[in-house]
Amino acid sequence: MSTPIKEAAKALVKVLESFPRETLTDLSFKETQLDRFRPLAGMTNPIREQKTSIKDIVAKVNPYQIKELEIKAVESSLTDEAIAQQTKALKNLMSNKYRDYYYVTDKLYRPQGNPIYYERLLADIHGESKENLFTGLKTVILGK
Amino acid sequence: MLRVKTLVPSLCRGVNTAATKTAHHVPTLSQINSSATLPNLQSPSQLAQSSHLETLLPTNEFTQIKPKTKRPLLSNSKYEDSTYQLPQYVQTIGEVVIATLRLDMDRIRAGPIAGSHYYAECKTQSLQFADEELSPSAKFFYEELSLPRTFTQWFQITALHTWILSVRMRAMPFKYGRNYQQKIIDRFFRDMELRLHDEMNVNSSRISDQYLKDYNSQLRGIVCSYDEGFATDDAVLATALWRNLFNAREEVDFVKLEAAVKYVRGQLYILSMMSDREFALGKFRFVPPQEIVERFTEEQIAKMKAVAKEEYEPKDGKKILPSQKSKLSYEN
Repeated sequence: MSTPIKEAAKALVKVLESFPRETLTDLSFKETQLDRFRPLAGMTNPIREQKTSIKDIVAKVNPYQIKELEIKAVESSLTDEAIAQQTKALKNLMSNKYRDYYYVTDKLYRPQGNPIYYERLLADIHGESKENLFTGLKTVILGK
Repeated sequence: MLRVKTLVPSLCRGVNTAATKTAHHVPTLSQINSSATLPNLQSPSQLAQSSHLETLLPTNEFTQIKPKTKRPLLSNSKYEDSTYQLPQYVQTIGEVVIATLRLDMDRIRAGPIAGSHYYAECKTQSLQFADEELSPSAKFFYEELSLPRTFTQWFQITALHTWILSVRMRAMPFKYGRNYQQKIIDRFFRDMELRLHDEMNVNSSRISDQYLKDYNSQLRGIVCSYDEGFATDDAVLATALWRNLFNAREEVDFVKLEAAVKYVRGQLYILSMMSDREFALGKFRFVPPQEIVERFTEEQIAKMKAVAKEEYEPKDGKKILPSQKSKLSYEN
């Protein structure tokens, strides 16, 4: 493998490693993309145990399963220039440029109809506070 | 059949909690880099096209949308026809009824505005058929972002747009905002059921019910993960878009992901600039992805407020029909 690509991929892997890890699901953008670019950067992927869940088994025998189209990137277009552009895109995302440029103010962050909506959601996702039966019931009945 | 990409909050509580040490909160003005500039003065569409990475999009006969009969945009009802005009005498009776019963028009308006007008707006963004040319906005999604031309992808794009609108609806007074959200989602699922039957030739109601249940659980995940991304940062929003809009595909192009984040943030910015009254009366249109959204200057904001005031402020001698009355603010 030529060196410029390797160097570009190394820089990309470095940026990817500082990407936040998903909190909502096991499906991780960071892990998937690291697995994709590590071989290009001349690194080896860690060996992970393959977990098969009951969902996968059910999906295999489901006759109504919609086959997902496999969308691939053209390998020859993955040049060092393209990889550098990918790295730049990731850096733009990490620096929150769009959030800050398009700052929506508290009008949307503390919505009038439900001012603590996002705080409650984030606290719950990050396990900082848990809803109990009473607050849960209240949300279901009153809607907020 | 369909993989659920995200879990509902009640199911995913406690996942990876140990890894998060910092307190997470909605960004405040002081944390925002207010001198932030756009990384490049490009529209989302130009940004997506600027990528050097090529993506191969296979086509699959089986997943193409080739209906024998096409459904109308909303319904066959004459009331939802864009050319239909209510007869004058019916209008007069209606106005009298509204005035005498003192009906709450903000509540009643939720059906026609959110359920029909705004839903149509969301639906047309990515509507496509195999034998037809793509509309400019659909071109952005299917060609420039390299998404497959399938029904599930249409659902994902439409769900993204309904979510964008529901963020703004949340900022309306609770009673009205919730009603608007309910109407748009009800319409979304009703329309999907009809589309599955008429356009995708799913003739068994057992199968279509199963699909709809799957879409429903996907929608919960979509709303939860996009909300998280919206309230935290661009990287989290990007991963949420990758999991849902990009179907968690491995060989994704990050430039296209960035273009999608730019598109979403731009729409939300425009929505945040609209007053409740303007939004509730259906004045919002999605900004086409081929256009650049720039931050408004102080003068522009003042001008917009003046125009809204001129239009909605009650004045002596200015007659407002009972059906056009609204209690929502036109100044926020």
